[in-house]
Amino acid sequence: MPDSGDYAAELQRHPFMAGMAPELIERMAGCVIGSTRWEEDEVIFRSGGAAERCYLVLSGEIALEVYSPGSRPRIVLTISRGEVLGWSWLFEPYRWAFDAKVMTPAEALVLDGEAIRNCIVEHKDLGYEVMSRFARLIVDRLQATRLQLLDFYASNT
Amino acid sequence: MAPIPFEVTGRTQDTYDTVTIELAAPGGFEFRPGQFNMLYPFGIGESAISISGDPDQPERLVHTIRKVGAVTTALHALRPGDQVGVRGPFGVPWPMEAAEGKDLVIVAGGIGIAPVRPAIYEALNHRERFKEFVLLYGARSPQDLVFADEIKEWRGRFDAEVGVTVDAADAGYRGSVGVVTRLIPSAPFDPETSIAFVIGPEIMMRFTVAELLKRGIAEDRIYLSMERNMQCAVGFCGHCQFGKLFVCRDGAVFRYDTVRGYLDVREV
Repeated sequence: MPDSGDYAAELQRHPFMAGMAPELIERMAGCVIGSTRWEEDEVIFRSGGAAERCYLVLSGEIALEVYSPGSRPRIVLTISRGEVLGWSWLFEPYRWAFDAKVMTPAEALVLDGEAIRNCIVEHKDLGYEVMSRFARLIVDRLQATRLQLLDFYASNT
Repeated sequence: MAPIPFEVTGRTQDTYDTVTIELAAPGGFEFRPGQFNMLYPFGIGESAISISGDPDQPERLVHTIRKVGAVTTALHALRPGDQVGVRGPFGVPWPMEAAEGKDLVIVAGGIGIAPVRPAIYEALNHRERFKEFVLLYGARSPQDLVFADEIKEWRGRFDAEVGVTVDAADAGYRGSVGVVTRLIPSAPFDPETSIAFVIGPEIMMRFTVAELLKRGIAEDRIYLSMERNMQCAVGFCGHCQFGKLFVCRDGAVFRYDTVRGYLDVREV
């Protein structure tokens, strides 16, 4: 687990922040609430719940699940070390779209979503960096989702 | 080259549509990882099937077959004691020698794990010849994972990094879910000293190559196994023509920079 006084260093080591200028990392460190550890099968958030936190995953594996009445939940994606869990805190109405459930014990740095929003409005250079990184993340996941939808391993493709 | 009859001595059901058959080759059947045979269920027709066994055990000729058409359905139905015609081996193998002393990264999708399994065996049998060994395998669902027990064994080794992911799974599945390309950014290999073997559906290979290039592996150190309709296996009939190349004779393994231009062409 990271040292509580050294969130900037921990942020700097996280792949999502790779290459960000140290002064911007320092600003982001002001949005860190702390670190957390989840146990297997723990539910981190549920779809429809208030999205108030951004999680930078440090270890473990987390499943994003979608629930449909009358059938078993399906795993949409798993998120592991070095990845970001959750961007719904960035966009209105700030509600989670999926359930997040811990598959293997996990650790994460926890950032306050509202604090990040306020900070990036106030500091445009940080705002550009943060939005660029989330745009890249969203594009990557969109592309991955399109590939999943292609179902290219099916025998008739 | 006429087919030689071989006796089926073993059959393993890998998934609901995929089986592995073992043929007795008492005199030994030498082959290199990545090569294929033309298998002939008598009276039905021929199909190009990669050899999926261990090159260090040439007395066991092993093929893994997914049931997709008339010939593969007939091959799928073979039982111990049946006979099947074999022509081969054909094709350009994976460049195992070129990978020696380097990190070896293998990315396989779906049934593509079968044609590359001989390369995996060779690398693990002679582990000291390579630096890092990384296998990334993607399948449609947990039920579609071929060689699941063996992959579990490989994952248990301390000298191999094995990542497995599926495109979709029910809650309760304990493995990774997502496309195989997502495993590449965090895989432990040094792009400067790596050679990559990629095999799977062509769309998967295109996106995998893009991700490997993004990691920094040079174009001339990425190898692909192309799949085309192979009929004669010796470069005469033209069914598998791929630009100026014949997949059966010049491949099926190609260095990426030699086929890059064809991959973006809609009809080659």
